[in-house]
Amino acid sequence: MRAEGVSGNRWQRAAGVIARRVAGEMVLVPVAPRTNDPEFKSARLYVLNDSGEYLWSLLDTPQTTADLARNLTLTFETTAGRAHSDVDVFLAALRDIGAVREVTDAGAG
Amino acid sequence: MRVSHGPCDVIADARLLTVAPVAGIPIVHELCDGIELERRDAVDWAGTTAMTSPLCIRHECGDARPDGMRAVLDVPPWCTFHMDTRGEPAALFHGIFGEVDRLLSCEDPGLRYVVRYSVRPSEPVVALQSELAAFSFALSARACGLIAHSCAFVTLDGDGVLCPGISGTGKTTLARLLMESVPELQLLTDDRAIVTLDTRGATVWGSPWPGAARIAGHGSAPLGTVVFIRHSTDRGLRVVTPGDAFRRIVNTLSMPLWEPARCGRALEIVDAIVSNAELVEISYPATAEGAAWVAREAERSQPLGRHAS
Repeated sequence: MRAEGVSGNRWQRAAGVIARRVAGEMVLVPVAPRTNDPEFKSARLYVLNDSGEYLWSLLDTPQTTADLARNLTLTFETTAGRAHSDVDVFLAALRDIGAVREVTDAGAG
Repeated sequence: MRVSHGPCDVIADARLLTVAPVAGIPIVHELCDGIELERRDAVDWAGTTAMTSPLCIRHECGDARPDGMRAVLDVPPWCTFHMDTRGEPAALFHGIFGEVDRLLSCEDPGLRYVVRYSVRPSEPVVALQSELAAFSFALSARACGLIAHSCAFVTLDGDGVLCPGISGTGKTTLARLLMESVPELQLLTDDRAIVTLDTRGATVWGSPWPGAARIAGHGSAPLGTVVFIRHSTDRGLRVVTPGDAFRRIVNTLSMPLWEPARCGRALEIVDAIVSNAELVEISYPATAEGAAWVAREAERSQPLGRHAS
């Protein structure tokens, strides 16, 4: 699954996501407002692996998927194709839990 | 008419029912509208020393609908947790087993909560659920600790041992076997322990909310070891990594996962637990001898140097 697969879109951490290091690992807890949809009435925690934590740190500021993938290849031993794929999957997962938001020019800081 | 009573306003015409302090926090039930609490299941709870402001829980008849609140977590069939417009937690306890719907909500975070009953209960009501939930909300608001679904005891050396687990893990069985096989051991609880964190580190406490073994010890001790128990035909012990321990313990803790302001502090408390305590998994035959072995191994697993002074 691709996160709006256009590399020109920019993404940034959403408000309402708690990130804490627990037992040496980065844990995310999405506490964004939920609806009455039963699917959203459960609380979950997410633990990031090394590359996920690295990408999360980059998302402190708006990033395109191309930016994220390029940085991933510079930091981890991975190919450009694999990095793009990993970034797409990661962003899609974060978007599903409300942990990232798409940044428009009007909304950019 | 209200009279001032320290940090807790007391309605003069309400009847008060005081629970001895839990982890240093006194609990005061204010009973209005003729509501009575059922203490049939109350244990002999001596309580701890009072160390901080009381938690006041007022019981009254009124609107028990969570209007304007947002549902955040279902725990069927017992209750649904909500958030009010201030971001404070609330709990709607569903009227099963002939009870009436009750809404626990917050008046003053950490200090005052109210339970509203949709109709006046015809019989004394069991306070366990509302008391436990209000205490959990207050601990979270005071940023001082968490409730753990756990058996807990104090080793003969004076260190606290937490044996967390979901229902069916064997907490009550272990507690009963320890009571039989190591009578000199100080058992704190067979079901609900309190873990607090301050500058001295984590402390484990007993509670007045026991499981089937009815163990409600009023002691406390510095948390030394977290033991994940497993029933097995053979004895076995293995060290658990902090990351693994986090994954296994988090589901047993009353985490305010939907409270942005408090979730971070709760995670810090969990980090302190899994980063500083010894973490082991102990497999044992569910016999008195097996339980005695668990107690010995838990004592041997205490952090080095804890008793140096």
